[in-house]
Amino acid sequence: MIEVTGLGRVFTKRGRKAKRAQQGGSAAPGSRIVALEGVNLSVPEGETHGILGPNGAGKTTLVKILSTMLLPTSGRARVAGHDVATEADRVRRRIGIVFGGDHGLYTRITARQNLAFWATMYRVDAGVVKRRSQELLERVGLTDRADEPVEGFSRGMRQRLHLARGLIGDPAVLFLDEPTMGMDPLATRDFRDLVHELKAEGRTILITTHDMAEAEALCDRVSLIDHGTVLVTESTATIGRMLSGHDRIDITLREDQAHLLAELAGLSGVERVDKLPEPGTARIHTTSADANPVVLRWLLDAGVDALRTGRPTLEEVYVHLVGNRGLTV
Amino acid sequence: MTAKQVIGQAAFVGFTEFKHVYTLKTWLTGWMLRLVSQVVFFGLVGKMAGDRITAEYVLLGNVVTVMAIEATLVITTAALERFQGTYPMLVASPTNMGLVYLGRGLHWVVAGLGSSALVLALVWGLFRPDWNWRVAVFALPCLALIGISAYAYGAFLAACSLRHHKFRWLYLNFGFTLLMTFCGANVPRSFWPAPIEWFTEFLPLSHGLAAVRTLAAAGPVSEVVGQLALEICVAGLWAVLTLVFFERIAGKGRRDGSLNFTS
Amino acid sequence: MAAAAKVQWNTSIRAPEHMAIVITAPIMSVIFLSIVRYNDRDDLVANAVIGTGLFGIWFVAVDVAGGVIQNERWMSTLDLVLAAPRAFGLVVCGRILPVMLIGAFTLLESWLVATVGFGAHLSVRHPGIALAALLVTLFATACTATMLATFFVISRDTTIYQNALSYPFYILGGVVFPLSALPDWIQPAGRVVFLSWSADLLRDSLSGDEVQDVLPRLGAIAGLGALALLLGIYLIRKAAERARRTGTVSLA
Repeated sequence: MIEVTGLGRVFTKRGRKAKRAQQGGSAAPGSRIVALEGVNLSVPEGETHGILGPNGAGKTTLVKILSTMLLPTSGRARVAGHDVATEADRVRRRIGIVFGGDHGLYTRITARQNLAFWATMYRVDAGVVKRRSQELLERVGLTDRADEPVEGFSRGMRQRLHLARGLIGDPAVLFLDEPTMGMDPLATRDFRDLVHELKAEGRTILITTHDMAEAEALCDRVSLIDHGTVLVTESTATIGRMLSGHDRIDITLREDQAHLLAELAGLSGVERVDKLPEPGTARIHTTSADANPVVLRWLLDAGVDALRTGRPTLEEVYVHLVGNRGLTV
Repeated sequence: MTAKQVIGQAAFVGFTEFKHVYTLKTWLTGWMLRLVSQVVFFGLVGKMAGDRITAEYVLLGNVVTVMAIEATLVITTAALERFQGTYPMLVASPTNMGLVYLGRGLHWVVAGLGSSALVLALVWGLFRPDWNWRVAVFALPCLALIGISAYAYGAFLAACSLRHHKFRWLYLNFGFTLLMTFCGANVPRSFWPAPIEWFTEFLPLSHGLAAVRTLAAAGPVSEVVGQLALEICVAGLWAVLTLVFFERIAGKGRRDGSLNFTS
Repeated sequence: MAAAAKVQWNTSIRAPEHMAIVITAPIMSVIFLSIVRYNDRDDLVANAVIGTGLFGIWFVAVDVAGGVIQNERWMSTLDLVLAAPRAFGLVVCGRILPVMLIGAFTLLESWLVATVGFGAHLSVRHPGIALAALLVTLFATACTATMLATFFVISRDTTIYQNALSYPFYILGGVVFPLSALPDWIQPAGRVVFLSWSADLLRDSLSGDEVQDVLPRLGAIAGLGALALLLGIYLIRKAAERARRTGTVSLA
């Protein structure tokens, strides 16, 4: 449903802006900023695919290209069977776009009127608009407030209306760019439930996030992206294994337990033991998730009770993956 | 989806926004007071420089210009749209943004029609100018036509102002002062050097105002019809330019990544 | 006050909308001059040039007075400023004075339009009086703008009042045509607007005749300005007291 080959996007800044950027040192001389480079991606129909990466990694640039807001400077991308650069109009009829934040709605008119407006923009048949709007409003839980101006809506409500807006054209492909940004936890949970429903309907969904938990909760597969390139595309389960495969246990030892460190290092299931800056503390890296209970049991038996297990942060996974790529390429 | 529906939906958004900005009271105390005194001011300048006939000439010109000024205010709606962050969404929808724009600020035409008609009535009552009764009867359709052509022209300028957001005030101010100055409101267009006069042929207001003046002087009907026909052509010209230009800036925005439009 | 002046100068230079009048003023003078020239009344060129200049000075004052308030409100510094109402008058006055220079610049622009664009000949017969009249006018405008700023604080929608403060005052201020062109009953109202004194004195200083009563007329301009400033300070105190009671400044 989404086919991306060798996609790249370079921004060329001109004039004053470029000069300023140079002075700021944020851009190379000549002010060419590479936002995406050689991106390959294939998302089959019905898949929910996560684009995971830190802020500024190129996630939004990718979504903008795929949703026809931006042209690529190299490579090709096809969405729903059409080229985003040359057949933008055909692509536009098949996609829905939901951006995070509270921009992009007409705040003076009601939720229902917003949907009617966008239905017209998406060439929805006039006879269908009313029914579909009502269905969508029910679906996103806005029926009670449907006839109030959007300006009085909370962020979560606006975000749900955004989702309804994105669905008004009954799209085959849905782009969600940081959709839960700034939402409270409860609203986030409801929003994720909605995405699950959409997935169950067989829609193809591309979702960008910098939140690993979100990607795990929603996606079949995930692409990790950084500095404009895709580091790896894997199933969420595999990424999850990668993460749990690198679990660690932080411990604090009393003075009389100091000898345990050497013994720990020799224990099966322990990859290595690093000393932490705090005196008497250390971090144990286990070889796999299966090893954790064994190591934990051993520690408790040895009388170590000041311990904490944790998963690596997303940044650590990046370091890990970049390291891997460095070895294999 | 028909163009009519797109324009209709866009116009609806505009009207709703307009209702939030003005109440009848604020409209009367602020905007109407300004418009009436603006027209009277120029009328008095005319009276100082010439005679009663000059004053009436300038008065009529400025009354009709009110319509054109208010219609060009669609440029301010473009700024509002930008602020709301809806541009990228419009670009990524399968509808020409220019078409949306031809509806999005239509409330300015309706408001302008109300303003100019009211100003006309007030000025007529206050100064009892020697205008033919036909003005009272046929001014409204003439004003509506001028409103539409000035609106199409304003929508084109709105498209330009999207690319140079920082200078939108320049487009607005230049947009309507150009009409105020050169299209025959205060002195006949023939007063200006030939190239300027030629250029005003393609500006809104020029021909529509001439039609109203012909009405006021009880001139031949055929002349009025001809002038209105030219005004319609001007409206069509700017409407087409708007549609083409919005496509172009959307295309340019996709190329250079300036489609953020969310400042 | 000097600090306030600096803030405003920097703001005005960076925000191009404050400079709008620099672009629109020459167009205004083109309109006035076209009317004058078309009717063969080159004796009225001075009216057109001075009219544009006063037009510009007044426009800038109203624009900045409104702009100051909106800016301060946006940055929610208005509460802080209102907490010290005496200083508020000085802050606004300080922010407006430098921008007056932009307004005065429009006078130069319209003189250029008249001489270069329309080939009109314009001489200043009493340069001393003209300069004095201009300076006193700038002072009075800054004072009046301060008063307007306080109006804007009290009122809800600044732009609507900004509209009402434009052309009615160009008429009452007799900026292009003298007050005598207006009906008798309205002329006393025009005399309360300092612009009418400024316009008369400036026009007289350009003509060849002896200018009568220079000092009293300068005094009238300055006096009306000072009165406006005092009224402004009084009003802002009232508003501050009210705001402290009800706590509604930011919403106002």
